[in-house]
Amino acid sequence: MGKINTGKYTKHTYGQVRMENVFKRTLVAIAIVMIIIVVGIFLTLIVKSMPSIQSLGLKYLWGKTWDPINNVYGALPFLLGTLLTSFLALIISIPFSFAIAVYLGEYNPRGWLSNFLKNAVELIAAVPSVIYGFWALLVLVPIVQKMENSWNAHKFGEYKKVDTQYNTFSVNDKKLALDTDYFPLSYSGTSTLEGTIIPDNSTLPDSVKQGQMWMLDLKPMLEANKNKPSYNINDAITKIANDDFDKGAGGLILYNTSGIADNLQFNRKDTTTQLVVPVVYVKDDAYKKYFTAATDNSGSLQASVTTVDPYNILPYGIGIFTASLILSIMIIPYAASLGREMIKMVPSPLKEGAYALGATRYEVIRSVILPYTKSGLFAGILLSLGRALGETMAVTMVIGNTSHMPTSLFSPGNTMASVIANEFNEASHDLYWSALVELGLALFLVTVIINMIGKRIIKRFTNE
Amino acid sequence: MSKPKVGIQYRLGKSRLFQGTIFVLAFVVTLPLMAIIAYIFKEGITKINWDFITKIPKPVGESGGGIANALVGTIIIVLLATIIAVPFGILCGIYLSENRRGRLSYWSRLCVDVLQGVPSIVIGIVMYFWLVKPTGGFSAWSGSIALAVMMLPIIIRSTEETLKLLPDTLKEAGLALGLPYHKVILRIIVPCGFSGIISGVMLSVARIAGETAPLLFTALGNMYLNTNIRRPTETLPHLIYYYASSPDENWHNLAWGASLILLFTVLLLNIITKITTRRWNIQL
Repeated sequence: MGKINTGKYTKHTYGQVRMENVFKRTLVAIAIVMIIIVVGIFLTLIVKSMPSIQSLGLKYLWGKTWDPINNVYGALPFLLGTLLTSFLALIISIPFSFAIAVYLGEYNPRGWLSNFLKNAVELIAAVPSVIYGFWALLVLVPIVQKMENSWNAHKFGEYKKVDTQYNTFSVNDKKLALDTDYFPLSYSGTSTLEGTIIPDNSTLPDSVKQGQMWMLDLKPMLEANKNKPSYNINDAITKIANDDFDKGAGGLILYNTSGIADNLQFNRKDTTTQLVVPVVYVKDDAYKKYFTAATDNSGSLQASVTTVDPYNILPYGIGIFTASLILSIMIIPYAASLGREMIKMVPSPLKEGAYALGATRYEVIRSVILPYTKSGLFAGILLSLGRALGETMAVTMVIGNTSHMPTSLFSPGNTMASVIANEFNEASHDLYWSALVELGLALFLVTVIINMIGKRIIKRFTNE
Repeated sequence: MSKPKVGIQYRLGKSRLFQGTIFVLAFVVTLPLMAIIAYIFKEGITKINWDFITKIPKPVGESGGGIANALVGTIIIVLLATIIAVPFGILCGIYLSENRRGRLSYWSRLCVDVLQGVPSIVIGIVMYFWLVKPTGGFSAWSGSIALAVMMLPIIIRSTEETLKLLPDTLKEAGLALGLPYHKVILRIIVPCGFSGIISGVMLSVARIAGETAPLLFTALGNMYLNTNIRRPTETLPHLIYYYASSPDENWHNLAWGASLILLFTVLLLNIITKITTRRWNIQL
């Protein structure tokens, strides 16, 4: 061969070597980028939740109130909601996933029937979460509702509580705080009203007073009936409210300047018939703060009020139990397919030995297969749990989304994931945001740890 | 066995009872799946017509309209996510299968495992801070990147597992012929494992096509047809979530039709994947 050829050959080889190096470096770079992505996710969560970690500290974790309007953040309702839904779902799903694992791993590993079951289980994992949620909302919820009704799971008024999510009251665009400044009475109607605040006894013409917010001082009533122990202020108020409504009041604000204790409170056990108009009680301090300018007829105060009786608007059937039900279906495949693999890996000599000793099939499963696959089955359950903890959409759609502490398995609630899905885009200030991100951080850590433990167990099991 | 008095008939009976219980419990699980598919099919099939796939949703109260915006949006976002995730995922899978030991591959593999377990809503939050907040608005491309991150673990794992199955002699033969490393990998190894890799890609597409949570904070949603990837874009799962939670009957109808299309696309992708993976026996 001549010189030219050799030269070409060398040049060619250098090019190839360079390409080879570029290729190898690209592979290394991509492996590094993979690490950067995951570490970056972790760091971003930590950095963005720092304001909340610093200012709220550990009390964030067991604070019971989540009230972004007043900048109070306690994550306990969501932690509890997540734990309740996940573990309830796990308990429901375990018998089924165990049955599938045993059936496909031991009883019937081959054949069209087991193929059908295997594919069906895989499709359960494939159905998008939002479709489970939609189906649950329109099919499962009414079923649970019927169930709850027949069990009488709710006592009347169980959910009658004032809730900042549904009740708002502002005067001249200044928001009053629920409970500390005002509260709607338990028989207040479910409605929204915007109007001028006018004293109840105002001499303005009816045409002006129609449909506006009327204001009533309880002082004369209380003073007149001071010494009557049988006097029921609630009866008197309902009567006045009904009268005022007949006269055209759009809503009623009550206040008390007499200094006599009126003992009015939001009574959730109250069974008085609902009124049509909103009736709110303004506490004395708040009255002085927001209303003193309005005692004349000038109409200088504009009120905007929404009172809702949650008992009327929260549909039955949604809540932690329904969320757990739909979740339990969704997580079955994870424990089932892993369990199947584990059971298949049990060495046949072990099983055959037991059969040779005269064991029945059940006895082989109980005394040979179960002890052998114990840790593997546990790992499958852990993977299912990891799935359940992070599942968002289906749960968000059926859990009811309230920030209150769940009172029973049937009460509406929120999980960590669902509260993020609901409120992240609406978070109006930094602390609120970072409190939500902290929930995400907690979710990240918990699911990663659970998954890692599960995978470690599987690895040890398969290496043995 | 500890009680010798127990007769064989009793033990066999117990065994049969157990078998029966297992059989019933195992097959009961298929009922909700069939119920969901049947219900979605029944409700959805009547809603799908030409208008449904070519028009955009009507405002509340008006009947009719379609989900063209969500269909186009889903196609754009999923396609873009696939374009981003596939090269990255395959190359990372190649690295991991080529370097079974070593510190970098250990950590990289660990990160893939971690990423697989991260809840999708958390990915949504992080992508919001990485992509949406700095660029000042929700966009289709940020949604695509969020979905691409979710696709990565599946593509990487399937590529790695597929390539591990190939005999080393294949690579050695190529190298012995004087082929450079990258050509051995890209021209011999990858084409040999092609169907395994492709099925991993399809499976990952099937998984993320129905994802809603990461899109809530990235692509957001859009009432109108939008093909600009720098603007908020509607997707099928987001449309279902949004419309299912609304009380409007017409919107429910749109959600039913959208559910049917989404469900069947996802199931079809899964079934195709199953048929192609049968050869490779990949564990995902």
